[in-house]
Amino acid sequence: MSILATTDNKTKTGRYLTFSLGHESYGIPVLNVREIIRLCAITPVPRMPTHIKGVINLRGTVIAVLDLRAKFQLSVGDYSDRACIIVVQLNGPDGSKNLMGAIVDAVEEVVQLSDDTIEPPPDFGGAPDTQYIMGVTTSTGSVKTLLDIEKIFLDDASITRSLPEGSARDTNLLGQGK
Amino acid sequence: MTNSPPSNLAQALDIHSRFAVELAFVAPGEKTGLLPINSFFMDLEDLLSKDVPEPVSKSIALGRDWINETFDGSGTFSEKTIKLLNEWHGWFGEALAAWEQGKSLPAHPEAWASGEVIPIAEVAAPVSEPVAVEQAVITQEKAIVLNLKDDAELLNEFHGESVELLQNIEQGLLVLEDNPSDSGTINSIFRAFHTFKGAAGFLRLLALQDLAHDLESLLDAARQSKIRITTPIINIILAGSDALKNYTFQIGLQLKGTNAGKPIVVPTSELILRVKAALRGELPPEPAKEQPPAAPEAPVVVPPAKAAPIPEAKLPEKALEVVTPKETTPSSIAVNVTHLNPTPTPAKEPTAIKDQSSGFVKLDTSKLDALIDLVGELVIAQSMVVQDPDVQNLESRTLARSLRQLSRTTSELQRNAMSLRMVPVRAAFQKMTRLVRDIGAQQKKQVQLILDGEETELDRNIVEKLGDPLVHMIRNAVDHGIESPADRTASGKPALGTVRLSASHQRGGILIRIQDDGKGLNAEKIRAKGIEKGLIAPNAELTESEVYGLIFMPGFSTADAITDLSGRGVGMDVVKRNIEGLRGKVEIQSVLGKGSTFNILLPLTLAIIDGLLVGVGNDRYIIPTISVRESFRPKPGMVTTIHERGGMVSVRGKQTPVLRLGQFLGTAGIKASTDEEGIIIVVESGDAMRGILVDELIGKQEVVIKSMGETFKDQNLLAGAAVLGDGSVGLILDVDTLVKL
Repeated sequence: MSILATTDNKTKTGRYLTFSLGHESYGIPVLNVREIIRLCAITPVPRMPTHIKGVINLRGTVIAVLDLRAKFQLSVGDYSDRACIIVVQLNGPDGSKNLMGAIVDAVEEVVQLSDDTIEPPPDFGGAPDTQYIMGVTTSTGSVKTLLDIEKIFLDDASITRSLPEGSARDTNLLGQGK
Repeated sequence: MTNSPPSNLAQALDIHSRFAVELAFVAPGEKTGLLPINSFFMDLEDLLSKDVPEPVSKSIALGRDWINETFDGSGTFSEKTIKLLNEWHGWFGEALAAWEQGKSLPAHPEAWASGEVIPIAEVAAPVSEPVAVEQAVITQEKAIVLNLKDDAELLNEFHGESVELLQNIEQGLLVLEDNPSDSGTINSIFRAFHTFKGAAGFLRLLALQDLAHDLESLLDAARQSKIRITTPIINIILAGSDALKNYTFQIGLQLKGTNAGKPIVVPTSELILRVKAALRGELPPEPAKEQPPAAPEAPVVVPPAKAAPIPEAKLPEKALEVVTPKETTPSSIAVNVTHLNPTPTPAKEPTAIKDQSSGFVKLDTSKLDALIDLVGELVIAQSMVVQDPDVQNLESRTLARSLRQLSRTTSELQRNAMSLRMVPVRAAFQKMTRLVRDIGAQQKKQVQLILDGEETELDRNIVEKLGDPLVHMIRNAVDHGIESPADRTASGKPALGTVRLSASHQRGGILIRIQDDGKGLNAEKIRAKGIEKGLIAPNAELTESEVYGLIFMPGFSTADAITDLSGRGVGMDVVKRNIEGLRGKVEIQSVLGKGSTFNILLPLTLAIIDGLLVGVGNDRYIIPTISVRESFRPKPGMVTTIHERGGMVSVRGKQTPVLRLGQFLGTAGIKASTDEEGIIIVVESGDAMRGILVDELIGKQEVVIKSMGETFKDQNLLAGAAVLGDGSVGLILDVDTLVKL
């Protein structure tokens, strides 16, 4: 499955699933969308960044769930009753497929976009962080921000969690007692 | 003729059935199922991309078109699309079945509006590839080119059988070395080469066939007592067997997709010359150039006078003893035989050659794994039914009885399925005998390997992954541990060194032990090295086992010269990581001058653990029972503090630090406001213990461990996740981390 890459020389044409976070509208390539499920009980995983909400059981597979609003540091509020989880499929470097979930406020529609309807993100000079943004489109009438979903999730794919000081795994061998 | 079905047909069928489920819920004017179905079409496209009959790939393209139209249109299913999809699904199922059976595919239904009706028999026929074997003479070596398209299945079978045959041959040869007149073994090895030759010939792998034929002739001559089996002869046959192994390995690689289609060349001409010379009764000197890597370079020379018979005291009970080469004169053979221990079978019978007709079946391991996964899901589903509050509210005796029966049967089924995965460690152990022989010869040391407990059973995945770490540690034992015969006799030890590899069940897991009577670990030297490499502070206080543990750190090595095998400092840390990846542990014991023991503790199976379910606040966690020592509710005053912080509790006389789990994790809704309202669970890992304070003990459960995925790969607090009986996820705590906090 070819992934719509974020590098500028690859085409961005394709279908996108759009969804809302708060008052804003976003889109991700449909190729990465596995399914949409309604919001269910999420088992929190302790000592992780706040945007990692926890894990859920998806028909026997345990997958991580991210809160995109928290990830982008949007104002956090209660989930609307249209809130759901988009199950995203990412291709790992070794060809394996990884699944992760993203909580969104509401799913909108699937739109077909092409390179000429997508503009590069404007340069805000720092804030907000635009590394996850692939482009912006207005072709559907409202402004939608297209996300580089692979980057967002792979970012979280290998983060080292450090425990509080003095308790890192091998410190006792360094002569620092407990 | 149709194409042979791909190996991922099973996956295609799986998608096909999941497709059916989605299809069941689509309705006109709704978009439910649109995205999953789109996903399925894309997966099928990826999956079936090569060597696919045209109707199949066209149908997938059609499917994608319909979905794209839907996206472009209303974004919801139309009646027509649903009808088309249903038809497609039916057709696809038939097509897959026909493809699998090699029959011609059904035609596309005419209703498919794209108008492309493919006539029935016109299925894309494969262009028949050139002859399987190209007899290209490349620098006097014959190359083999595999016809992977047509012969894939046959080659697969050949590969599987060959691996087994060659393993048997190797074992037989090692047995034969001690017992050159053992006609039973000679016969078995002869038959094995004969079978191999036949199979290779059938697949027209001529280079293999020729070599196998020559080796078979050699064995035949031995069988008829025309030549005598001596160590050089054994070496030649081993070299031949290694060459065949090399071929087989290459074939295996190509079957998996690496180097597919490239000609396979394994240098054999020199070998064949040697074999032919041996047949004539001449033993040419060993060639200067080294042949297959594992064979020793020089003929084995053991200081003759010192080739003392093995003292009786050294022999433990129940050992399969393999002695490394000595001058095999008739008298020393007699000595060997008499010293064999009471268990009648070992070196006499060809125990190494397995009984081929013993009621076993060969199974594709992926099928086995799929079965076990399904059984796991069944257990969860069954448990969710039983624990559903609505079901529990139905007060019916008969229902309750039936559910109990269901539970019982499901558990039994699961136990059975798990046991399918258990294989004896014998396979991994027996590979070591050859290794010890070769290294001993190479380093001019006398080493014997004693195996114990090979029938102990382990999950086959673990046995497979155990191979590498074992090889490494045995190498170390021979390389660094066992001294040269001169050194050994000088320090009053017998010249023959012993490495003992044993497996036994212990503490709900398996204990694999590698014990040598070599020179042991030098704690001072290790410590010095550790300081030198900056791994520990100069004034660090370490227990003995912690010092030994240093050798597992990356970059550590005390070898003064880097020998070919070890001493590169890349070995032991990888070993430790591999073992920890199997959820195992390594512990070292050693006495300087006397020897070392490496203890590897492994769980019985990777997939299931016995867990203690505990509750803290609103959350639940699982602690592996194997690490739990005891649990109790602390009485007032039992938990004492130092400087008003931390907590300690006396466990069997030892002050043990307490970790308040809820506090540590920042859990909401912690119920125990004082220590006495909670429960302390004492866990241990290695030498360390910790008391974990939780709110309540909910129960004990066997759970299937699920990986949590990439996101949580690098954190060390959680060992994994499990799906609990009610479908929710329980997080499994990593005890090793907990005790070190």
